[in-house]
Amino acid sequence: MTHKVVVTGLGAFSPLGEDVPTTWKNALEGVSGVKTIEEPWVEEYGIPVSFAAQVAIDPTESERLSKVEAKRLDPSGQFALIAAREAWADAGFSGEDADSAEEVDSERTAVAFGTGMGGVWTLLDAWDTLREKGPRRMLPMTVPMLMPNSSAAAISMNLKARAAAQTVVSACASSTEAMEIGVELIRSGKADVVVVGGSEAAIHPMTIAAFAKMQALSTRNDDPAAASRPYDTERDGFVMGEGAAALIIESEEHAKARNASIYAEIAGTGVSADAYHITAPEPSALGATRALREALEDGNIDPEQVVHVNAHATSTPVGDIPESLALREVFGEHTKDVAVSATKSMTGHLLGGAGAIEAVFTVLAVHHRKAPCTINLNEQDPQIELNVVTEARDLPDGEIVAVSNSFGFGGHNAVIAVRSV
Amino acid sequence: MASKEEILAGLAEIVNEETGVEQSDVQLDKSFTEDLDIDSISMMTIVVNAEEKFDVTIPDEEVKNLKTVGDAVDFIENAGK
Amino acid sequence: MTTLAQNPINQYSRILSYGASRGNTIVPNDDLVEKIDSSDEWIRQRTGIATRHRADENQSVTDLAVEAAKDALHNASLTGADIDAVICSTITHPFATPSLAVLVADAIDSRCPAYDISAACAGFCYGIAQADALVKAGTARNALVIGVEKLSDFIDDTERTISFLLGDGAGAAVVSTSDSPGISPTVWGSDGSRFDTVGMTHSMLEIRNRDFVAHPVQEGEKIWPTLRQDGPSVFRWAVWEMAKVAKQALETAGITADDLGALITHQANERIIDQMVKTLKLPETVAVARDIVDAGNTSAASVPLAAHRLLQENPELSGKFALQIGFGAGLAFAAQVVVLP
Repeated sequence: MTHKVVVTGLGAFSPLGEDVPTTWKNALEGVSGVKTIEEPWVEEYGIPVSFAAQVAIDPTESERLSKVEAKRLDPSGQFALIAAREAWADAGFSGEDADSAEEVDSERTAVAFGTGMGGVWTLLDAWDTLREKGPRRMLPMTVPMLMPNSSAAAISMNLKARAAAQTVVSACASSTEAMEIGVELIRSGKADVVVVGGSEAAIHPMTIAAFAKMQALSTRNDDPAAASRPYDTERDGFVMGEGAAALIIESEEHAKARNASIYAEIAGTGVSADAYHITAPEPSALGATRALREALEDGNIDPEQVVHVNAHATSTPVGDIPESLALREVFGEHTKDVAVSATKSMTGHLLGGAGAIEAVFTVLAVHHRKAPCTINLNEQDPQIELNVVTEARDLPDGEIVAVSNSFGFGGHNAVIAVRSV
Repeated sequence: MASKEEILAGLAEIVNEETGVEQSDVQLDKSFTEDLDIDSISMMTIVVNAEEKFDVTIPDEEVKNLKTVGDAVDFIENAGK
Repeated sequence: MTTLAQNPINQYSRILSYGASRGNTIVPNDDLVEKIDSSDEWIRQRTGIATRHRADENQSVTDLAVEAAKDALHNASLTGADIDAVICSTITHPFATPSLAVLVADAIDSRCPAYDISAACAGFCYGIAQADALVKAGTARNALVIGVEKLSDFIDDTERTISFLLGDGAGAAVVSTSDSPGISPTVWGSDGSRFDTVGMTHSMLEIRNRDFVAHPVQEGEKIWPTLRQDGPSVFRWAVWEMAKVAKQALETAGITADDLGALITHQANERIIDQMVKTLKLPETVAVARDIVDAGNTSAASVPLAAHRLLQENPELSGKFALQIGFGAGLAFAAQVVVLP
């Protein structure tokens, strides 16, 4: 039999706040997390984009992470562990890990986490150290800190998740694909509880310079808070974000047996690949459409039931259009009744963490019946015929479904469908 | 040149940063592995930081001989002469 | 054969009244943030604290203790003559001896046994456990327990781990004989292996023995011991281990979370309180003490201050069950279920 998968815990360490309550409150109020980067390297290297959506607080100030733990993790791993610990606590388990919580079996607890780039800061710092000081000064923890699986490993070690600790690397689709893997682990009966999510800490002069060279980034240096403006006619590129989010998903039987409070059901997942171009989305959105259809079919969902979409919408001139085509293709006339939120307008683009933070928003939107904001939308691009939520909007009563889309460089498309409980 | 006390204090700071062991517990007669529960990767990290701090070279093959905090302090003191 | 005479034992005890005294100055976050490079928003978001009460130089730790004691006596319609024991829990009485409790006993015109205990933020609940035992053993008919701190005497305003959380105040309770069960067996304990997790920066002997010529006082250095903590470690212990202690206290009392009228935790950090509510799966009908928002963390005084205020604001809670739990430096912890007076 296939197990129904439900969400029982949420964690976030994001540009909008160091935890879920703060992040969600700011997402409903339309607060921008994008600011000028106050780092000497912007000027030193003449970085053409001087702003980003950096995490709200220094991770070493979080009480969910000790100083010693912080020293042994790349920032991406620090963000991941903080978010995972919040989600674990939020799920109401009786102990701080799967060993000490009596209602959980550690051998049936897994991790599936995504990242786009892994420990990019650690990697580049180590390279600087090698060139400036030689191999003797290389820190022994360099490799375990830079490897992309270090977040999944850190979470597994700390929460004593022994069923599996898997990592998905598929650029900006990473964490949505990680959720798909987590859902399958539960459906197939291989795990009862999975910590899913994603993390990214890539606001580095090298990555900004490289993305800027692709002309992918907004260059609105004089007004950072207005730079991320999905669907707006004045959009000029995406804004780098960073952070992590985690969700505790578990089989419905397991959640009910321990009397957990359930936020929502992950009803369906869909993935596809464009096989078209390394960075550009396929213009008629065939791959995105297939992933979306698959997620709905997988969840036995009638397109008319979908009331809300957390769109991938990154605010690039070309990228925002195909997704809207996919939505129109699948929802047809019903599209006008679907409340579409582009939360990257506030959080910036968390790359490998984007699907995770957006899944948290989607779950909360279904749970609280409230779609979060899309800010900076002054004049909607006429090519994008969507019903965009500019101020937090109530969602209908009764059984509702929302979907979250993620698409990544490489042609990766991933969609999850979230149903109310 | 740093005195023995200064080396010990500096080493205690490095050990505390890396492992969280209280600085006051880092004493000359303490064994890195037995008393301070420091694993091999942490030990190498401490060595790298100590080389940087005291401007000395501690060859990798020498590290296994640094069983106690006192061994490390003596080595750094002599290496710096 | 002759045997030793014994006090007649009492089967039950209860809390007859609470009393309170708060620091006379209200200190908002904005007054503290500059020295710790922080902001009002940051402190509110991370701790729930908006203001704390602090005592100025005209209000001593003794003044706070005596005022709370007299308030509790007044609320119980008793006088000092009725009190058979005074127990003060404090870490900020500036004398190792004599005790603060003897000054309180004297101030209420009593010559009864009086002594201090040191269990920091668990202290009031430790005191209730002792008073409960004294009353049940027949040693006392009425015992006065006071949790009192003038923490502002022991902080470093540039220190970022704990000082900005702290406030001053005193809370007191009269524990008396009862016709029905009013205090459940206390679930309490300690973990001295974590002595260094929360506490003072150094001992008095370290000051006495310091060679001030070789190690002169640096600018901004505090010679006087002040409080500090390893925040992440304490947070995790409080969130996870204390939820287990709270559950055990409910089990020991033979009740469930659904039977509670109120949860009165040590007021350390509002996020610890939120997490405990979640982990205990408390129904929304349970009143949760959140005195911390205005009062800050007052260590041993926080539980009785929070209880006193909760009863003032919700008189209908009288007669209902409250779970009291204190936890902190030691590490030490204590929890019991009481019937609210």
